[in-house]
Amino acid sequence: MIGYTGRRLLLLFPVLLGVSLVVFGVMSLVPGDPALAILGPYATPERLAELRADLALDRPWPARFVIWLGNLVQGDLGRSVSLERPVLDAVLERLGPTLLLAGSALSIGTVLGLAAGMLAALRHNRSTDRMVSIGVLLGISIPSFWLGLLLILLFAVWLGWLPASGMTTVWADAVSPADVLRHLVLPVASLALVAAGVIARIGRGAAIDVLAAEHIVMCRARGITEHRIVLVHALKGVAARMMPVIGLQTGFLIGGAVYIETIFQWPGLGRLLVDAIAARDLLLVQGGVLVLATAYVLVNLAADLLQHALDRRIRPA
Amino acid sequence: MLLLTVPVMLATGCSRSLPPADTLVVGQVAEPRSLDPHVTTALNDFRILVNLYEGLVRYRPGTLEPMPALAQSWQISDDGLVYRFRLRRDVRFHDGSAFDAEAVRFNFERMRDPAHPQHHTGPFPLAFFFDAIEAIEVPDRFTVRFVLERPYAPFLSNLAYPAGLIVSPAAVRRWGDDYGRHPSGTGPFRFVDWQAGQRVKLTRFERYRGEPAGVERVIFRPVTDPMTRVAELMAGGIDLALELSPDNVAAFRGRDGFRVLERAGPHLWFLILNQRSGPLRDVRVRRALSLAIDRASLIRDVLRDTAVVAAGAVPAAFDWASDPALTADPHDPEEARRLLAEAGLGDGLDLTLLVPRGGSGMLAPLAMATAIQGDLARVGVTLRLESFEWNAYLAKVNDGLDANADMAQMAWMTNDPDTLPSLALRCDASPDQGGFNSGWYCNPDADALIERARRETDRTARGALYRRLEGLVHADKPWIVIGSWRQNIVARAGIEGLRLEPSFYLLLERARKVGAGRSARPISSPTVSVARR
Repeated sequence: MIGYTGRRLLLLFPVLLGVSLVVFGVMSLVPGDPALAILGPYATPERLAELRADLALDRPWPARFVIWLGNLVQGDLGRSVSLERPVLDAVLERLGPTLLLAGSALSIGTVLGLAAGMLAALRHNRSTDRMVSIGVLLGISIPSFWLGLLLILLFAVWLGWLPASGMTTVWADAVSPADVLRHLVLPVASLALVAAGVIARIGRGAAIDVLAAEHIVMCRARGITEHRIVLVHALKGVAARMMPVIGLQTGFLIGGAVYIETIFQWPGLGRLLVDAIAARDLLLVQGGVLVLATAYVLVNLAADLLQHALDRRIRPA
Repeated sequence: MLLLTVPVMLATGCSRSLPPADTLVVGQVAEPRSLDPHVTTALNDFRILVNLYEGLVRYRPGTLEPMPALAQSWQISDDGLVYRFRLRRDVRFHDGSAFDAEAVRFNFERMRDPAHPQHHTGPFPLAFFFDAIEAIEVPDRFTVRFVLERPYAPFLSNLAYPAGLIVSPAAVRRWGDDYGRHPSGTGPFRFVDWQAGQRVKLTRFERYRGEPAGVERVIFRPVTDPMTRVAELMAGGIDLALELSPDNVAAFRGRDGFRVLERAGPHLWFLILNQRSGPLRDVRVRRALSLAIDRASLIRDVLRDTAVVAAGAVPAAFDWASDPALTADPHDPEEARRLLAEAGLGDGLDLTLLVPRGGSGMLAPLAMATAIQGDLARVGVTLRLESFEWNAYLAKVNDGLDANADMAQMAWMTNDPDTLPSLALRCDASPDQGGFNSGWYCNPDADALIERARRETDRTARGALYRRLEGLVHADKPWIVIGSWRQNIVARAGIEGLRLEPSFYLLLERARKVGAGRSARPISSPTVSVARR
């Protein structure tokens, strides 16, 4: 298992290399450049040329990529031209909020999704099953940004129960966990509902299979209570099967967080990346994508390991 | 949903929380890039900067005329080459260091001299505003003399621009490349903190030389999504919002509990016409297009009166330079068709218009483009729209219009009537020579007027030259001028002392909240449309 984990971690390097190569290449193909974004409407060709030389933008992109890689090895992600500060500082500062948002949404989405999936499987082909399925269809179909806007309108504008956006109350002197929690509810709900829909839908199928499996029949035969069968034995099996799906959901959540962070003004990496792309801030995009890709690979590795821990019959390939 | 919401509300309380009476929360359109006034070019950043810093001169309230600020008075030599400023003696920077003539010299040399020890804290995109300076002399501690290479009339108004705001040399030396996140000026508010993506917080500067600011704290919040900005304003999370979309401004006008402030500024929205290739080389065709566009309807129906019709190339906000007698071309499709027929294009023609998807001062580019498309269709012109993301758009248009593009949208905000014509209308300002004359207009008479006007230090005489220039440009039609933006602020009721300046800056020193500020009543119905821009 340790060998397997080590091999998967080693695989991280070629993945990240590939990702950053693609980002570098694509960003170099897109028209417009950071020198123009910095100089704004007064960018004359001379000033642009000067600044491009200063930023080493006049060299071909493969050459810049090699320089960037060399600095990266020394732990230097470069300096963001749009924020006028080191990329690493900017990215780390924004990582925490994104982890909090995506992590909460993943946890809540998983719990809700598994619960709904199990419920539907237990009431297979009955009205509860159909109601859950309709709910799931809604959850999958509603775009999270649209849901987010409706939630803001209802809970912040009309009812005034929760703040409309942001992560903390900007005029408060100190940050309190309760304050962050209040700000977290609406964005997490918008993200989690979609994730829950996907998990419930696949979870229902998995649960139907598991509930019919030999070891569950065996449990029933031995007179174990139905509660215990469902909540311990079946749930474990379903969770094990669902782990890869949950791992993959991380990708959707990170993608969804880009919209959700914009709508809810959540100070996370997604919003940082959107701004960085608009400013053609290559190094900042690179740094942000690198961190997100690492997170994605690690979460999926964790999901595989967890799957193995839950069900020893499943051997990670 | 309720499953998630209810427990949190029970645990943390569920009352609407509003900013306290001594704190003003401003909803901005974006996160600032830098709080170093010499580094940034964004209007969004300027709105913070003018509250933190002061320049030697500033704009007289309600106008674009320079008046004393950190300089008590000034003299200009008869040949227009020497500007001598007497500085105030009672001024300190927020970091405690003293303001004097050496500090002023430091500010301009940091921008201009590549050998200056703090030049690395740039780049300084607006340093060219001060290109005319030959030397800066300090005869005594509170006198500074700028010696220019050539007479350059926009010098004073450039000093009043954010590029002329004075930063603390001690703070620049201390923070180096990070100065833009640790600003120190002499203005009515001083910097407290900047939480990335969340807020920039300022507080009243107790040692301010003038009357102390009306509120204790100002917080600038970036709320980039226009719909969220509306929602926050209605929910009470911000006290005032900037740059709402035309539909939303219209919805807030006359609505209880809110106040809409609007004012036109030195902004110009126009179509650049390609005079190097294609049918628009013929001035009759250019005139026909101008007559075919229904400006009044564009401003009223598309922009919902968030702009005013502009007649000439000098925005009306420069009241001393713009010609009040000049009127915009009327909407006259008949005459347009006649002119097109006269030019041999009576059977109709196909044209291409470049359109950005957004961008600084561009208002509602796509909606405006489709309205123009409809107007032109009525005179037999088939307009093809090509749209680009803003950064890509600038790169394309600044390279000059080629055979594949007949027209392009553009908008400029300037601080002096010299800036736009000299950067975008002179023969020498063509894109291949480093200018912004993307339509390749060239008229030596216009060049001569621009050059004379920038050397003329007498304002009345200078104004007359710009009026002649306007007439010339109106006849030549290198552009189709459409309108000037009215900057808007939507504020919750009970916020007094807000003033909209023609400069588009947001000066908050006199702003304060009175009684009603805290108890703005809850909103009961969703009549404000939250249409995405």
